[in-house]
Amino acid sequence: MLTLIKRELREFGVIFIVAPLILFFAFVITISASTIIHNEVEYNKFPPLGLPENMVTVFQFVVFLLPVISTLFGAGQMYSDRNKKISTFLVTLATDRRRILIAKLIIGVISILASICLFVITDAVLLRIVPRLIPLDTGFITRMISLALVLNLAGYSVGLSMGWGEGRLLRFVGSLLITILLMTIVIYKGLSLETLSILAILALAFFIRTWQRFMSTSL
Amino acid sequence: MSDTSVNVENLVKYYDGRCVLDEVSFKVPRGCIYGLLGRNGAGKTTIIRILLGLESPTRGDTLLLDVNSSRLSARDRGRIGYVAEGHHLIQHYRVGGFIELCKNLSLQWNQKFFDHLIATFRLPMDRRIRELSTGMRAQLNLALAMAINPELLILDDPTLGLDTVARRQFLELAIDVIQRDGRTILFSSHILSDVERIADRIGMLVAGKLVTDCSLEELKRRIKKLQIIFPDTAPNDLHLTEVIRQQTQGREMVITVANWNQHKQAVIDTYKPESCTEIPMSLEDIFIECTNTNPMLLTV
Repeated sequence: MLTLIKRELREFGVIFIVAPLILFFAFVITISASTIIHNEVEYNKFPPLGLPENMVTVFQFVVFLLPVISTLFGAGQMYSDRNKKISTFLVTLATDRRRILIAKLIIGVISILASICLFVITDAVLLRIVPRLIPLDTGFITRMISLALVLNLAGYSVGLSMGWGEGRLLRFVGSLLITILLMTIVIYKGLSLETLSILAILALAFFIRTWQRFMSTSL
Repeated sequence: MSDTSVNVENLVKYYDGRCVLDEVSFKVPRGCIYGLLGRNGAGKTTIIRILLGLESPTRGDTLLLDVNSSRLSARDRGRIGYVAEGHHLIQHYRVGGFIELCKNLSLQWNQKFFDHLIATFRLPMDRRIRELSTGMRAQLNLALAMAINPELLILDDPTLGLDTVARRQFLELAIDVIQRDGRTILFSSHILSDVERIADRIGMLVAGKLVTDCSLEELKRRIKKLQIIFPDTAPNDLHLTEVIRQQTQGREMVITVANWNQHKQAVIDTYKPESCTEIPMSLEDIFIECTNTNPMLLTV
């Protein structure tokens, strides 16, 4: 199993560099852009936050950017496997489909957790250095981080499920469209427990679909 | 542990409504070298892929080393060496890294033997797999399959795409390895001279049907090609059953008959021929004669 995990890491380890880089640039660009636009600090109208407008924009932007990266990563893992016939070869060695898929999932989930951790750390630093009007609503922050995590897992599972097949454009664009559809649930239903539950169920459904497909499909 | 390494029972496979395997059944005893023959598209690779659990059958059962193909564990797979048609491997890996991967994903690894093979083949470790020639990829694939000391070795058209020299080199090594260890081998090919050199049992697939499953000697005993010279003009019909091909010219008749026996010899003798000479047939001759006419004549 360790060999398979190392193999996945060797193949897709770049995600651990690319994701933080994208995250960093997203923060810098969004903060710069909103500061240029507003010139002065404007506080968000949303009562529980009491944060500057540009910070809220950054949070929103990153919460929606990370799942896109996760989706593309999941789709990339499966598309690359299918088209380079990697599992077709690996399964003829002393391993099986279950282990191959688990190794993929381990790397995928670790990359998501790493991105979320980075997101949380950056948020914590920003919240510490930026003055607030009212005390921080920790419940809201927790919900936002949970949502980011579940939305990432959902996006990743969509990518895994959609990435297995022919036609690169169809696979990547298709999975992105489904992830965008999932994001609209957040936009319309807000950061409620219901939203989290719906996304968690959808993520689980896509994971099960990926598992079932990978275990039974022709390699 | 049974005495059968490969067991295929009533295997049926449909692709898009088209039947590619039709009730195929055969067994490969332990220690046997089984040659699976057939033209392109006859279903050889499909059988092997189903055996290895790479795809599922429409109906029927396949067992490898007493384990159902769909339930082969990592441990079971570690006992099977496989050389795939086309030797795809993982193209973007460097040879050295790829060998390391295979080594780490094996139950046992005979480093000494592997080093010997690599030295024989002179494979460049720093090149990517996709940069290797087909011959080199075949050699690497065989070396990897052999290094794990497999109980069962499955070779799917391993010499396909190799030039004559590479093919000869590959086969000589395969024969050397086979003779040394006496392992079970399932060998698929449409290059029949290759199979004839190493197989001791033959399965012949024609359009998804297994028309023959017997030893090479039995196959050669059952199919006879005779040159018969008659005192006068050759008769139009010898009233023999299971005639695969018959050519007549003047007093001479060349006839190929399936399931040859003494009764058929007696029928020919009634025509009092001047001479009746057997023309030796290679496996390739038998295959061409039979598949071009009525392959079902070969069925036991």
